[in-house]
Amino acid sequence: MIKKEPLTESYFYILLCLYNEPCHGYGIMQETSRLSKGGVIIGSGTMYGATSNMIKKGWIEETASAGGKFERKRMYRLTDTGRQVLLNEIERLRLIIDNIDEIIGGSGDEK
Amino acid sequence: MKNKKFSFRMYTAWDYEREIEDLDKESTKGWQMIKGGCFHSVFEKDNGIRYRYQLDYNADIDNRMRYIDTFREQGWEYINSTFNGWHYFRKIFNPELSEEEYQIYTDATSLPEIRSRWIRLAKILIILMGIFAVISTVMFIMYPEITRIPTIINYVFMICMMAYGVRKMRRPDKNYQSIHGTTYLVLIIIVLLTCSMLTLKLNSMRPHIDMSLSNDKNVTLENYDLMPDAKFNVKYHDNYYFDIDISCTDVINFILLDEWGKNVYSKSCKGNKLNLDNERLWLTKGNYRVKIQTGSLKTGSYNVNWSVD
Repeated sequence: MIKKEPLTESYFYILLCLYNEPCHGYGIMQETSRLSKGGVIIGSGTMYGATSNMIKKGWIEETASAGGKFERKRMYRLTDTGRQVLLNEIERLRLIIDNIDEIIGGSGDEK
Repeated sequence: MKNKKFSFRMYTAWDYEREIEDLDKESTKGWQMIKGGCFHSVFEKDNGIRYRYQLDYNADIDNRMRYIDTFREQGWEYINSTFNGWHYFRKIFNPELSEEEYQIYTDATSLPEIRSRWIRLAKILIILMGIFAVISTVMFIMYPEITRIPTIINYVFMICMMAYGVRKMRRPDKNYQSIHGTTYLVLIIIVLLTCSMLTLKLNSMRPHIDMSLSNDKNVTLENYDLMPDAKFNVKYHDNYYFDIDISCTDVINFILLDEWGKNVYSKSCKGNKLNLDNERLWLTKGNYRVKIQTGSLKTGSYNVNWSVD
């Protein structure tokens, strides 16, 4: 029974970055920084804690990239459970955006 | 061969940010830490480089390689780990990078993780010490003696020190007003040593006497002192505990006399068995004499064993 609790930004972005393909930790960190326009930075301590937690929950798993012994990098991949968690969260966020539109109007692009 | 120096500066767990600040400061002076520890660290002189340091507390890492790699891929060089789960890292300082580059916890949720991990361990230790404290107190209530008091004080003091630590860990002290690490640890060691030595000394000053005598042949000894050398010295007022075990076919008296010959305590075995365990007597300082005295009738066989501690 997966309890629906909001994900922290770090957790959310880690899952999001893994949506299309597996990625290594540094790549996740860089992509998160780019997507959030520098707003969300994932430090090593936070990254390790988050990945450990998500591996334990079965949301992501480790996988090695192709390549010889020296090119093999430690990568993470989304599991089916993780993918579902991400989609659930996206649904929640879309609802919030709709709520904003309803109350305030416009998707926040008004300046 | 680079110049080396050792530092024996100690930091309490909740002052880890102070330690990081000090390491960074040392680095600007050219002293680079190459090995960190709870009790001593090693520095190497290198004026040509500047590092920023970080310290992580994690006592149960499931995959050590993955842990180190997660740090390494963001530019952190792994230095070493302490025996109790603290890990040292450093990164070459680049003034063009933002401050965030040198943080390892960047999430409001994950930031207190270091603290809560340590607090969990501290709570277990407090509970353990609490159990020992309760046991010691119960023992003291059942068998009061001055010897037990330092032990109780010891446990209570340790619990207070740990509780102080937990409080400091919960509320980060930005002004660093907590007790300095070295002072804190020295205090603990002093109290520990003092209480242990007091307990040993007090215990050694007590009379630990154990005497026995038996005779299975029927003998006739009227009003006879069976143990003329049964005496002991009490060095301080306290409760002392006697075990008396006498079996006899006739009458045998156990009499405790102080140095003025006054009868402090006495019990009789009247032809059967006398068995007293942990009989508590309050004795003042002085010399005491135990008289194992036969009655005025014919004495049969007997078996006498008594002890005091």
